Amino acid sequence: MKPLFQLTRCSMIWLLVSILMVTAPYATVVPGWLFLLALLTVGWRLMVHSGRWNFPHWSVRLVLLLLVLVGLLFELRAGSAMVITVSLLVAAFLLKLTEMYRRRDALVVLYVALLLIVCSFLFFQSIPMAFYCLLSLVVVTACLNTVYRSQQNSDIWRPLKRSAVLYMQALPMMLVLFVIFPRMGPLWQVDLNTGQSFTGLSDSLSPGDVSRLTRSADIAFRARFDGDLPPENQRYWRGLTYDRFDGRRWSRAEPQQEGQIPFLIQPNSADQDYRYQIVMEATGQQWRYGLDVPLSFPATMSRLSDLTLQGGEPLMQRRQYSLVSRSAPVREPLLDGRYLSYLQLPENGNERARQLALRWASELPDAQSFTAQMLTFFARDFRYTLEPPLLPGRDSVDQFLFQTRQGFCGHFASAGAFLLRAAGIPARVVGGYLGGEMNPLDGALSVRQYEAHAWLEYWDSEDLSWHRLDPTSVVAPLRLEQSAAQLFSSEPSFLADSMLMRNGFLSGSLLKQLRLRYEALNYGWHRWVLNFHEHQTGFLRQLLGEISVIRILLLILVPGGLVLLAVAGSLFLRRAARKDPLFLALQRLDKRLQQQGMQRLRGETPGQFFTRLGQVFPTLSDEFFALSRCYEQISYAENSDPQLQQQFRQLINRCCTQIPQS
Amino acid sequence: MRDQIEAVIKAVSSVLYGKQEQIKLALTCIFSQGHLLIEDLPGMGKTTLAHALAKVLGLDYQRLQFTSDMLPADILGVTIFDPSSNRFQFHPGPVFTQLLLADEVNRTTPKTQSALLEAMEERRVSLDGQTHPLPSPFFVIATQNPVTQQGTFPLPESQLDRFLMRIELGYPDARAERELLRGGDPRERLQTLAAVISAAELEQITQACSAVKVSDSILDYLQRLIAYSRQAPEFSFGISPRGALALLSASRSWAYIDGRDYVLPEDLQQLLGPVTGHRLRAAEDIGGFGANALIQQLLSQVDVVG
Repeated sequence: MKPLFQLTRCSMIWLLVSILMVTAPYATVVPGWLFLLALLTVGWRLMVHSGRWNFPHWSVRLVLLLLVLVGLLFELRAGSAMVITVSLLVAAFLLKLTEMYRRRDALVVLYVALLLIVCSFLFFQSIPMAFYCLLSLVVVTACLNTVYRSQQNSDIWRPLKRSAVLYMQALPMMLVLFVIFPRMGPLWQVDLNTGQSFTGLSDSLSPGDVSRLTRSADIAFRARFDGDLPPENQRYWRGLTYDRFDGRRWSRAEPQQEGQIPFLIQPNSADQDYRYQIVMEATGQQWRYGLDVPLSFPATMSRLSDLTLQGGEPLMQRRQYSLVSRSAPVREPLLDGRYLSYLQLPENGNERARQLALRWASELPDAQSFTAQMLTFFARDFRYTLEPPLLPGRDSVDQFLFQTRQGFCGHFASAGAFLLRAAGIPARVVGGYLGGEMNPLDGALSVRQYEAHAWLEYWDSEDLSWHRLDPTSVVAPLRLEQSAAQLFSSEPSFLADSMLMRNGFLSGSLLKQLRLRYEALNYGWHRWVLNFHEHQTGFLRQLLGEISVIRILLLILVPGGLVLLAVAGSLFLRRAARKDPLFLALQRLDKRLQQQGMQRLRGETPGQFFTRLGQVFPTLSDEFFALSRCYEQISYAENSDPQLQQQFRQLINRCCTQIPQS
Repeated sequence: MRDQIEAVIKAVSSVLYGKQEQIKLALTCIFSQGHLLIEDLPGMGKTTLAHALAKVLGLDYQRLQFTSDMLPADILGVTIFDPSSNRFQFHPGPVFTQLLLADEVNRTTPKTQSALLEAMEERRVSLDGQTHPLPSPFFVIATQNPVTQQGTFPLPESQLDRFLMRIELGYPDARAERELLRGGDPRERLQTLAAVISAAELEQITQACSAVKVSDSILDYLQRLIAYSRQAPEFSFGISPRGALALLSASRSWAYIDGRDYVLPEDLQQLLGPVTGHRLRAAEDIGGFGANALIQQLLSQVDVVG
């Protein structure tokens, strides 16, 4: 089939740029073989445009379509439904290129391009991406513009300029709508399991896991405090607890109940409440981070019996929430089942450690002195390192305690919890983060993956409370005082995955400044753009005093009206400037003449016109002759004699009164 | 000064009867320091007009009859080896004069045409690596037969553009013709014509012409005319900036001849045809026969007062 509508060269160029820009972000999302399809269809379309090939026969298109469908069906087993849906959209978009016969078809392609731009926000929401999408929008609009213009225009940049100007003009309206447009809840929710992997804590912990995280400088979350910041050695960010030990790994036992057990945070006037907001990066997990111990939390979250905060669904996107925390022991009457579960140990293995625990237990009367003994033991000849020797055997705790004696926080927490349990003291390992870097630009703490930490909690039967115990604090007291970055910077494996960050730490402050700035920007972006709906009401109330339909309408109409007024005013002024007295006087004469059915012809000079008038009204021929001279003197000889103007007006008046009225 | 202009017109009129308008246009062209192209059938008085102007203005002039076998050297001159001085000597051609009458310029080949037209534009001649300036003032009055006639090489647009004006003489009216028939051969009377103004006076007039006032209203009108010619679909191309400048400078001289020191829209209207007629082309006019009908349309479609 022959195209009924030939795209101009300019349109073709912009169409290709649009396709490239719109599909590029999907390269990491959709199956790779769609790239081949893109090459094929774009190439084919180019050949058609250059006149060398024809459009593919319908059977070829059908085969292509079926191949794509079958391919996507295969992908369905691996990927999520959302990815497949978007892939289908991309594939259809590319296939449509091979049947662009009419202008309508080109428009369909461009409209789908617009849809694809919007869809890319499902996967990416960063600042650069937002600007990229805006740019794509401008390009697609430029292409739309060229498609609607049939005339060939050699300047291929002009449509882009026109479209950019268009968006600049729309910008104020966009901002107003962004601020006031009501955010509705989603009509349907999509499950965006994009299969991407996250760095962060997992739901089981073996001693080496935490040190693996120190290879990454990704941000885990950022916290902004309303009042004071907690002191550096108290910045324990709780993630989740591990209460089941299999001899090597700590993991989470069966589902923890939700708020069934009454907690009592020890009331102590010396302890301060910290109010803060957290912006947490996606983890793909249900739990949320909070400063130890979270007191109050949003209604959408819950606090499990092990004090783990849990959100409604796995965190697939960055999210913000507010918390109040207080650092204090937590009183909880451990009932039989739970008491026993916190004493759980494998039936055998690690015999030396068990013996050591039992020996201490027999010597020492209570849990407090037991832990003191344990800390002294750790402090004596253990070394803190990011690269401990492997513990390959069955009795990994024994190996650590009596042979290698080198470890990271995970090793100490794990061994400590084992010793406590072996001695009959309920204990659990807590995974989370310790520390946080202050960003002076927005006053928020950035907590990074390399600040991941593990410590333990034990239950003291005397005050029926859980107490935090961090063996790292005695082995490597600096870990609590300094930032992790300072402490680890000499270790070769530290930040091995982010060389830039590592070099930044070593080489100085410029990179660090840039990084801090970027993080602050990102935080603002998240808070004020992506999550604006959370502040919208408050913001509008601040702006308007009270939110009512009338005020919202005024908010739209007043700026809009002002803009229209300004435009009208400038137009009026421009018109008024042209109306010099001469022109007005002449207009008066014209009006009078029009009543007589006379008017100046186009292309008739004033001189010719007045001569003609002189012939039509012979009694006034002298006046018209004088008028003609006057007019020429004023207008063409640029004679600015005021007397001349006066004379001109008098002549006009005389003519106007003497021309008979109909 | 005005009297002298009157005298010039009168003197030329005494050999070319009933062509006051064309004589004024030719003078306008010379006062604007432009070259003139006279296009008409043979025997309409083209050469007579040119001769008369040269005589009356007191310019030394050469007449050159263009033929199809003419070569550039026939116009520009040649360099010849002189055995007595043992070196090459340049012998200037007929182009080295103040007023060159190029008769039937479209009879010769494009090569020779372009040699002349180059001299017109640059006002100098470059030969054998040497540049010879032409005398000042230097005017060319070229005559040509209508392109529809046989044995012609029509001048291309780029060369037509070098002429400030193209005018047609047309048949004389009955009274003038009667006078002509009664008066005998005008060529004899041509011999009796004497110079009316001197070269210095011509220079003065030229300067006075360029000082004629052009108001903003006139420039507005001119720009409207240009814009219309460029946008209207009837024209295959519009008035060029050079054409617009030519129109303006010709209008000044025309106004001066008319005794004014300011330009009126009428001046533009009067000169639009002579100055732009050979520069414009109608979209349907493939042969390039001019755009006189279009000029009238242009005048009737563009507002004089904005």
